[in-house]
Amino acid sequence: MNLRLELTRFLNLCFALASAFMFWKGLSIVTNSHSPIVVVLSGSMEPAFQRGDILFLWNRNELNKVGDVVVYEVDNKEIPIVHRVLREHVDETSGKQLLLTKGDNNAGNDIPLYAKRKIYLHKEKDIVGTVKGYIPQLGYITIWISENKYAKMGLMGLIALSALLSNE
Amino acid sequence: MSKPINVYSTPDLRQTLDEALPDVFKRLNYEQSFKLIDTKLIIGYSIAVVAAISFLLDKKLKFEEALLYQKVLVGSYAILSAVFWYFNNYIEKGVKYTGYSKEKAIVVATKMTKYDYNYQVTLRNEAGSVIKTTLPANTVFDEQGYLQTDLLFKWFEEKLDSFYKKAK
Amino acid sequence: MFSLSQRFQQTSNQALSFAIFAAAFVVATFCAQLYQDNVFGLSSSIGNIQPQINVRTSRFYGSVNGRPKENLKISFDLESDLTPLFNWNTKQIFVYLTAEYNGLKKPSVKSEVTLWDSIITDKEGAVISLNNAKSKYSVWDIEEKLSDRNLTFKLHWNIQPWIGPLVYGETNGESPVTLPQTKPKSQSARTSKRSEAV
Repeated sequence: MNLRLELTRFLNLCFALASAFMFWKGLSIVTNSHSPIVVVLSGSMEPAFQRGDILFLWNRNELNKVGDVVVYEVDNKEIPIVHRVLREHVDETSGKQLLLTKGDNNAGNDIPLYAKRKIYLHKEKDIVGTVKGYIPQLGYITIWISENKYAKMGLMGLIALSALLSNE
Repeated sequence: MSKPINVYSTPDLRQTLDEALPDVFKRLNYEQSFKLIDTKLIIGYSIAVVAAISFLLDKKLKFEEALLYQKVLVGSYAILSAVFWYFNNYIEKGVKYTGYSKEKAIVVATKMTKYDYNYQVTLRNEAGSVIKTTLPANTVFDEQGYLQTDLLFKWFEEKLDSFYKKAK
Repeated sequence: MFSLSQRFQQTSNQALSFAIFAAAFVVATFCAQLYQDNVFGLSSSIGNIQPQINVRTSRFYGSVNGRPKENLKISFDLESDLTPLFNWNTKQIFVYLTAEYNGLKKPSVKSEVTLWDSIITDKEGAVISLNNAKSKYSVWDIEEKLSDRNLTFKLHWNIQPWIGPLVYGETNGESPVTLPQTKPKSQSARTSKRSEAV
């Protein structure tokens, strides 16, 4: 039994997991968004975005414009929402901006979706990011993985296996 | 060391030969020095620890709360990875074994290119003289893919002999 | 186990580098195409804007605690040819008519609101010709009153690609309109407090 040999092999497994995670963290620091890449889960922006589409976000902008597609989070709700900015009001002295959003495929604006008694989103606090880029359908893999326990375990197993078996 | 390997896979060949080096040199009365391999393990595991801390912070804290720590962690991850890369390419340079006996020292670096069964060995002694030589891997593996450790030992014994004769 | 993991790693590495190359190629040709078609210099004409202001007290028209809120609707004419926006990578265009204005009580507040928008999914629909069209949204401000302001109307567009970056632009052809001053009604006279602070 050679301890150093085993440690070297185990290190390869650590590297595989660490590099994937740190790449994600690095990306989220660069974009200033806690989820720089999101997968569309609802059809409220159809036909622009469908379930399973992948969106790339950017959150270094201080203000949003009308027409921007933004991802926002509502307190106490897990799932972020991807909708378009319908109105913006910015106070140039304080730099604070209020936004009203709406899904392209929805009849009305998002006020019913906001947290209780809230009628605007705050750019600074509520916005996760602004959509900059788009890849269709590829996100179905992650939907499938996240909604299927066995697929999740299988994927983790595959990453571990490939790291353990690789010699390079 | 008694597992058969696929002799058509260069990485498998190289790994098996590399891992056999300590035993060969033990029989040649060398004591292994672990300085390089330990340094490598320390750098490697600090990378893993940094990634693990980042992962835990991500689970425990909100994005905004952890942002400063994460910046530091991602930065250290990048720096440590660069150090690791530098160590591999400019300090270790393919050194797979370092050993010493009473008055002698030996450094063994190995290399194997893809689709080539030649095991390229570079030997360096305490005086700094260097010899480059090639071992065709098919001469030390049998048809079932078992490493013939005796043949390997004899090959290194011969090479070392001629190396020291030449050096004198 | 004939180097399955190696094969897997090799293939995924190749796939990744191909994907990065393909993405760069798509973005570059898409942008080049847009500049060649001069899409950032398209024009529009917005005319015959008839504003109409109503005072609403429903929560769904921006009223907070039943305080009256002025709502703006307009009718308008709009002409614009957006066909150059359609190329091989255009999935749809989202076209929207906005008004920009400054705050009345707080002039430092700049606002932009959407009055009308439309999704166009094919080239045939990209020639817009509207006569006396009604605004799609009833618009209110963060202040109670919206009257007595200078509004600048503009037509903007957004290309949603099949793959790649979302592209935004505005057409040449602004149209300024001054909203009429409304007579203070009995209700609105007693509520001069701000309902929402920025």
